[in-house]
Amino acid sequence: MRPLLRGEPAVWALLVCLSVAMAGASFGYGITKDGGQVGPGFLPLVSGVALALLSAACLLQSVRRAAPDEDVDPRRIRTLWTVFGLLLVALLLVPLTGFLVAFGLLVFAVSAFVERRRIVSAAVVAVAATVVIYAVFVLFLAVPLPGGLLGGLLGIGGDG
Amino acid sequence: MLDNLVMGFGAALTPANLLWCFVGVLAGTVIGLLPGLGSTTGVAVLLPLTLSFEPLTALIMLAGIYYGAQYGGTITSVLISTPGEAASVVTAIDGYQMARKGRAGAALSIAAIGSFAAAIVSLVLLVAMAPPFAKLAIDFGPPENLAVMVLGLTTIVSFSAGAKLRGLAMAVLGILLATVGVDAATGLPRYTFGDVDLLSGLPFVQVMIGLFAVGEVLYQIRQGAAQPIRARFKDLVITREELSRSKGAIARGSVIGYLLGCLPGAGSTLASFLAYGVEKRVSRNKHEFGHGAIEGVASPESANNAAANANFVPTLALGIPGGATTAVLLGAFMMYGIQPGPLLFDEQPELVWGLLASFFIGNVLLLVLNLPLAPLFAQLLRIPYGYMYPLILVTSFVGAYSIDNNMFSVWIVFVFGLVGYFMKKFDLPMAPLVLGLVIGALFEKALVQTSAMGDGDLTIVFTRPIALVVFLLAALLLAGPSLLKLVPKREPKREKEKV
Repeated sequence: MRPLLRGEPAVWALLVCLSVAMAGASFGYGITKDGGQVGPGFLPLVSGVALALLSAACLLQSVRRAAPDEDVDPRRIRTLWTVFGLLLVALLLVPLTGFLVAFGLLVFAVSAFVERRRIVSAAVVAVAATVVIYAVFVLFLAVPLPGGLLGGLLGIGGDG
Repeated sequence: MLDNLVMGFGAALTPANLLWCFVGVLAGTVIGLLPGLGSTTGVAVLLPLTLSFEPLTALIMLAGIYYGAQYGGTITSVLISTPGEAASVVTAIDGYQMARKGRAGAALSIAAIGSFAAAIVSLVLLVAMAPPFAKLAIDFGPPENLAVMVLGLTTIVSFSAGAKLRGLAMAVLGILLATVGVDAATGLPRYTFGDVDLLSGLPFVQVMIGLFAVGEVLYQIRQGAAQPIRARFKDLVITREELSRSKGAIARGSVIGYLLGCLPGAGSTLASFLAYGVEKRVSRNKHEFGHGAIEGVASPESANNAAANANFVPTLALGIPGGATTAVLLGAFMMYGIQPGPLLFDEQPELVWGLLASFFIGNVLLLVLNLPLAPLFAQLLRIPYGYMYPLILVTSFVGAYSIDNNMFSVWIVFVFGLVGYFMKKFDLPMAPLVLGLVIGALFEKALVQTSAMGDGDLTIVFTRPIALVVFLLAALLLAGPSLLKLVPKREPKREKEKV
């Protein structure tokens, strides 16, 4: 059986929770100041309550409206989440390998294993992309990209 | 007034500015060509590159990216029926049909010519109208500013096609998220959970890169890219008949685009839809619309370009962006330490007029670049998307990192990339969220000041005539269409009588 809260209704339910939590926390900031003037909690409270009501209305609408069957290839959905997972891995690798290596590996992994391009072309694209980014951001714009533990060992890269 | 324009051209026509304008137009066109990526993404992703530039040079380059990306979006609309952004959705209707009939080149040419003509019309109107608009805005106090911001939000919400409630929810979410960080009036941190990075609020450009670039890429991976139709050099020649059919469409599109672009929040998308609708009514070739009518390309393309220029009127004069891309540009202004508003015209005339002049220069470059090179650019569409999207992802993350040189920016892009994907998947309108996020702080400032003016009584906004009129206009925009539905329709009766 399909769970009730999945897809779009789940998004609205999440927004109801978020807005209620933010509106609740706004009381701690002070809704009004001395003299009844608008305080730091006023806008979060008003917009939080408004969003909770709007999201609840949208939630009802989306539950009532039967979601059309999606005509999307399941393989594409798998690809999407694989890429998303690899992106997360690349971000977690940054403190170890540094920014350039982590993202160079990401380009290679996505091209070679997810998109199934030839290993050699994937490697060429990954290396070329890394070199171009190094030239533009590190050499031209002097951005200190994190060198990570690897960069520290090799004595290259920016702030760890 | 002419002196100002001469000064503007003088400031914009330096070799460095020309070079960066060219780079902006070129890079913008390429970005606009990439599936799903539009001018907002282009400006957001390339903004970090301009941080070391002089403010005028940076803004000229960003404006170039804006136009370039719009044109790039037109190329994808025509060749693969995949608009790079909402403003070129309408172009895809007739543009793609023209391409299927072997007239892709003519569609691309008329789009470039229409955009160029619109740039001239809108520049003349901008020069004539922006300073009086700014003078009027000087009389605006916090209540009027509050009213104009509400108008901006309701305008953008009321045009969220068939989804006002969702649009409104997104606008309010934007305002709510904008309250994260230190409260400007009291210095109290809100929703920061002790995180130092969150004290200055959610970083706007990083959020945009996440929503538009990463979110779009993830969505495109899910959808799969379409196969392009080939555009050849020899097809670029427009026939005399096509040109004469387009003249009226370009003129009407330019004026409609300009007028709508002046409204805060209305933006280019609405302009292109409305111009197409008008053209469909007034054209002698109504029956061809939807089947490859050149007017159906000329009119929305002129309109969205004129609106893109006119968007700078509320952005520069009121500090309230006209649409999503100008919202990102407003963020850029603030990063360069420029405070847009009515005083900007008096305080930094060289910057304002230089920027206005650069719109014209940017469009000339666009025409020179795109008229002969459109088929060449179109070849980019043939690069497999499997190679493209990892590169877009990496550029987005490196660009985000380089704004503040910290990993916090990168994680914000990651999180908002996921948010952007789900927004695309469930068809939640992004423009209201962006507008809410960018004007949230200004909105709160105006709210606090209005409350101080009325000693805690916010109803003073209704005692100010200008604010009252603007509020009424906003209410009419939101409730008007629903009220119209209540009016009994006579049409069916007549039909019956006829029968």
